[in-house]
Amino acid sequence: MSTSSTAAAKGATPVVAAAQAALAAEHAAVYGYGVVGGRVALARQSEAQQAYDAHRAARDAMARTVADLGAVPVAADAGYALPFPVKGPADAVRLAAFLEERVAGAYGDLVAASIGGIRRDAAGALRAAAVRAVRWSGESVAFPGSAQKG
Amino acid sequence: MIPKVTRRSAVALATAGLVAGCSGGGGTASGASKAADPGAAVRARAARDSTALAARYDAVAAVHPALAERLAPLRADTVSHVRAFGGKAPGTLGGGSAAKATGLASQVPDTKNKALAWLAAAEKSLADRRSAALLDAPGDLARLLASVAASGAGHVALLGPRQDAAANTGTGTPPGSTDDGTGAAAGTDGGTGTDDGAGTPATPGTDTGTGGSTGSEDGGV
Repeated sequence: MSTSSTAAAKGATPVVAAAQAALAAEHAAVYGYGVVGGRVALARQSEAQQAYDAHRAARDAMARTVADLGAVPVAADAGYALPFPVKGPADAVRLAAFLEERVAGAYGDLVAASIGGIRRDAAGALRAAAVRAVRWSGESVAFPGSAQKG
Repeated sequence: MIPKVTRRSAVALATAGLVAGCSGGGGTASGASKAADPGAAVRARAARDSTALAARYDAVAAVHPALAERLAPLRADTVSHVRAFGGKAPGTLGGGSAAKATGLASQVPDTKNKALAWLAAAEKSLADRRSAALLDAPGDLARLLASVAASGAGHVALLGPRQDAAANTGTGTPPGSTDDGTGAAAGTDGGTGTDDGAGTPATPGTDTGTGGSTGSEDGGV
């Protein structure tokens, strides 16, 4: 994903590394939804806006979590390569689902690495991302956030 | 049809397998072995719950055959969940578990929409229970529970009124009824702060809409 996350994760405890990765994923999602918003069909603009707002809020919450853990929150990259060209509304929907699955994966790692309130919030964020992914794609997923591991 | 029992399932199964490995080989997990494998009881319960959920899908499909096709992928996910928790997968839809479904059939609401809502309620309460159970589980099992709970929350969304996303089937989308409450439900136990609504600008169209290069810049999304 983003290069800054892996750099910041060096030498960090597992929970800090996972929190930084989740923050980096949220940075990427905020960027990505900017692209989605510029390409998605009119009928789904408000859905894209809601998701964008949700990821901004989640990004800020994760930054606070990282800071509470005593680390310096990773910054957003200057730009991000899209996983595929986004030329029209269908691509935009595909990108949105991709972003949610990415975020879900990062939160899954954070669930495993954390306990208590951080775990609870990460599980909630995973769940919210999975629901958004399903709404975008219209397809169910058996194990959200588990595809891109390993 | 059993789609998607592919890489996702394989990864999760591998994860579950690692956890199961701690128990020293799938024996009867009771009493003494509990201390050695704190997750055994949670996994067994989760497998039973998903098995019962699959039976509900069977019952609804038996009473409302017109829904069978729509429900098949969700039931397939549920069977994958049973396996991931170390349970024995129930039979195929309309097959071995049909007899079991008949026991539940009397509980299935008599209209399709109510039957879908009945399934959605079962999915949601199970997802909520798992969201709570994962707090005390070992790390990898907690991740699996979180993923399966998220899958269930996604099922709730799919069991709601049809939306544009699923518009490839020609069922009419009721206008305005885009929220079946599942989004809110998933959000409320999230707790990842929707607190600061501070200055959220309009979704920026970062690319100029002038077509041409949809090229990408530096990092990677």
